[in-house]
Amino acid sequence: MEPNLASYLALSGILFTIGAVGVIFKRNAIGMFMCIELMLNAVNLTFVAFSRYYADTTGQLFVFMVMAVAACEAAVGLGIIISFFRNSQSVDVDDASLMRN
Amino acid sequence: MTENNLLSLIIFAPLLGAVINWLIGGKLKNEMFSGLIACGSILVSTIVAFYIAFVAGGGALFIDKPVLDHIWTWIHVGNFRADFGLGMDRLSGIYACFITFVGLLIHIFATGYMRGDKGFYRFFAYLNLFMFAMLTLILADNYLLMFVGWEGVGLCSYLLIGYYIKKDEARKAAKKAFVMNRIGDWGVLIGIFLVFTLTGSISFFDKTVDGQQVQSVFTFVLANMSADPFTWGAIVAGGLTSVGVLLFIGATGKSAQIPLLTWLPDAMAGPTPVSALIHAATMVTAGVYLVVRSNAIYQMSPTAMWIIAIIGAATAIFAASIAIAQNDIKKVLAYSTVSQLGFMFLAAGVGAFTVAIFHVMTHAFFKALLFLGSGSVIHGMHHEQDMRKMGNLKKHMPITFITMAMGWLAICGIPIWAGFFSKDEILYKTFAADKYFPSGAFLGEEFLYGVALLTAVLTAVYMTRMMVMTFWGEERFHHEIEGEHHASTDHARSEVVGHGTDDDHAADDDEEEHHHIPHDFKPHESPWVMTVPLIILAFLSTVGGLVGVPYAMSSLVGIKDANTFEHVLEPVIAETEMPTAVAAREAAKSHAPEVVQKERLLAGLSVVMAAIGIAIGFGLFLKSPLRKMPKILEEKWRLDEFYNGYIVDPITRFSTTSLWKGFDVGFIDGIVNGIGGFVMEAGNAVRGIQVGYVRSYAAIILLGALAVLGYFIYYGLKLVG
Repeated sequence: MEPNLASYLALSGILFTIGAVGVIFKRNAIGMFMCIELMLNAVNLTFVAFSRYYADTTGQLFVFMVMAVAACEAAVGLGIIISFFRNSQSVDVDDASLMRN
Repeated sequence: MTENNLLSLIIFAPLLGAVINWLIGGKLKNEMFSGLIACGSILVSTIVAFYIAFVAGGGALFIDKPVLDHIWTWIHVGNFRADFGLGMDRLSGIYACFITFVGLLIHIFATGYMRGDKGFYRFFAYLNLFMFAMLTLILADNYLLMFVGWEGVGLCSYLLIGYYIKKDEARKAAKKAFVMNRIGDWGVLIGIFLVFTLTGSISFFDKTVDGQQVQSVFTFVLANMSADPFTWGAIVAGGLTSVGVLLFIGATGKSAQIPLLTWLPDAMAGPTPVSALIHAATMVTAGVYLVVRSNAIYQMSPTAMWIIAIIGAATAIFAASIAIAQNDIKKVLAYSTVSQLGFMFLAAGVGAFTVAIFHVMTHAFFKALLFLGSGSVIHGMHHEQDMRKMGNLKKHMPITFITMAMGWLAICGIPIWAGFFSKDEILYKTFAADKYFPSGAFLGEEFLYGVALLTAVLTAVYMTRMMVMTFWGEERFHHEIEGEHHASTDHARSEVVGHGTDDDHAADDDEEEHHHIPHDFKPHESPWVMTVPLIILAFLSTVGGLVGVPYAMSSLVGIKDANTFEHVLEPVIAETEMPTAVAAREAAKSHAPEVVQKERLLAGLSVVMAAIGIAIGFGLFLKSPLRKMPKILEEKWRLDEFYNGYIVDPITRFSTTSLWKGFDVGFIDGIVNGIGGFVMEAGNAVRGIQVGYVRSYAAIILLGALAVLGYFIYYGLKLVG
């Protein structure tokens, strides 16, 4: 059975929700990071699904764009995490609360 | 029109002297250098001024057209034109000559008087700057440039009164002088605006600049305007009378007339040469210059003339009455100056402009002499100014005594001394002034004459009292004055001027030090740099009046026309077409026997009155020089207290309670603090949101995103539905 658009969107929604919940509840910076990637890819999936559905390649082009940005974000984000780890010997984001109040 | 570029040298030589003294003299600290630069620059001015006034091109004093020097075009907007240009006509020529000459003498005197003062270069820089401003004032060829000089002399007066900056009294006096002058300057400035509005010009002279014809204010006034009526309403009507009154407000400030007179006596806190130069001979006569320069305007506004005459007479007698009771030798002379300035304004007010200028000149001679003489006395007395501690100085300081006696006779109005001719002319002209006062006017000329005559008597009395207390009687050098606190009074009155022997003196610039009179104290005669100017001024005070002997006097000895001074000035005085003015001119020329007879009688009367005044002075004070004077006079009619109580204090109170604590602190600060407080409160309120945890921020972002999404879905469904 050829999966229809709704299935793709449902999967995408599930993945995005998992990512969002993970970002909110995970305390490990690496984990949060992975969740963010998950959310991005959920969105990518939506793009591709719609692209196929409407037979329009614009959506797929956007996916490349998102991937490029995600790669940049990965570089910057990992850099921040490493730097934070060097300073505090921890990757727990709750330790990064110097700006509190 | 004659051009002479030398004219600018008169004003710029002192300016250069001031700059050199300030920049180089301050480094060198060499008295010889500073003194030479200062006196040299004034000498240049003097020579050039006399050269242009008497020699060049026939002499500015004798040719009909003014000598002009257009230096640059200062402001030229539309039809408004203000040049940085100088002009010497007969009036400013006379002024320039006596200012430079008397100024030169006073500069020379000051090199002796200020010897040993650490601020020597600064003093002479200021003094030269003053000469620059004063000469700009009188040589300016338009009202605006004159106003520059007017402000400049005010500034220099401020600087020089406050020369002893460590002395509280001097600082206060300087401030007072400046503020009072500013009050008057308001009038001059508005007056100049009004002159331009009325006439479309602010120039004093008809001239051609850059091929453009410039008409003078006075030509325009004489050609196109008619006289204002003699009413109170004319003052606020915005016509010539308003101009006259506004300019006179400025003159009252600069020349210390009622109501702005209290600064001048306080100004005596400055060094004595300053008192002589600025506060007796030159600057304070600027008001008279302004009035006489604008005589075309004044002749057209009888109300303004009347006000000037009344104020002049009132000031004359008011100040003379105070002078009688003062114990500080400089204070006596200060009030005397105010009184004499009142005479000059009285003369101007009754239309005798030439006589006013004549008195300005003779007064410059004898008052500069008296002030320098008092400076010499103070110098010889180790900076004691209280006459109660002097006495019998004629034995110790013969030259000072004789020269000052010349000044004394001159100011009292004893015949052949300079003051006699000028003062007597004023009295006579006042008596004969039915020109500007319509009959039935309140306080007519007879009343003014009475006041002036009484003032002349008072003048003789207080001057005699001063001479007696200073030069006659017994020596009172160690006399203790009851109720006097040495710490405050003496110290405040003492002047700087070290004596070269005090080495610790050199440690501090401007440090003042009272020299307590030692027990074996002997007053000493001053050095020649101080006595020579005294002698020259004494000579001028004696014979200086002979240039302006009126017909009634000269005809006594068979000389028909000896009044050179008046003839020199005649072209300056506008010939208005008012019938009264025409009649007065003709009367003055006719020398009718009965008029001459009357003038002689009045002159005889005033001589008798002066003699009576001197006799009263000797009678009262020779035996008991420390005679108690009426308290109210000693306290100067409590005018300062009146001003403080009714003007200064209410303003201070209003400023403190309403403006400062009410408006500024309450309102302005309230706005600023309110904004700050609001931001702070709001910050405190939302501070709780900043928990600092990355995850809660993420949650908030998510919530926000969901809210936006919900919003779109909600409205999307609504649209669809």
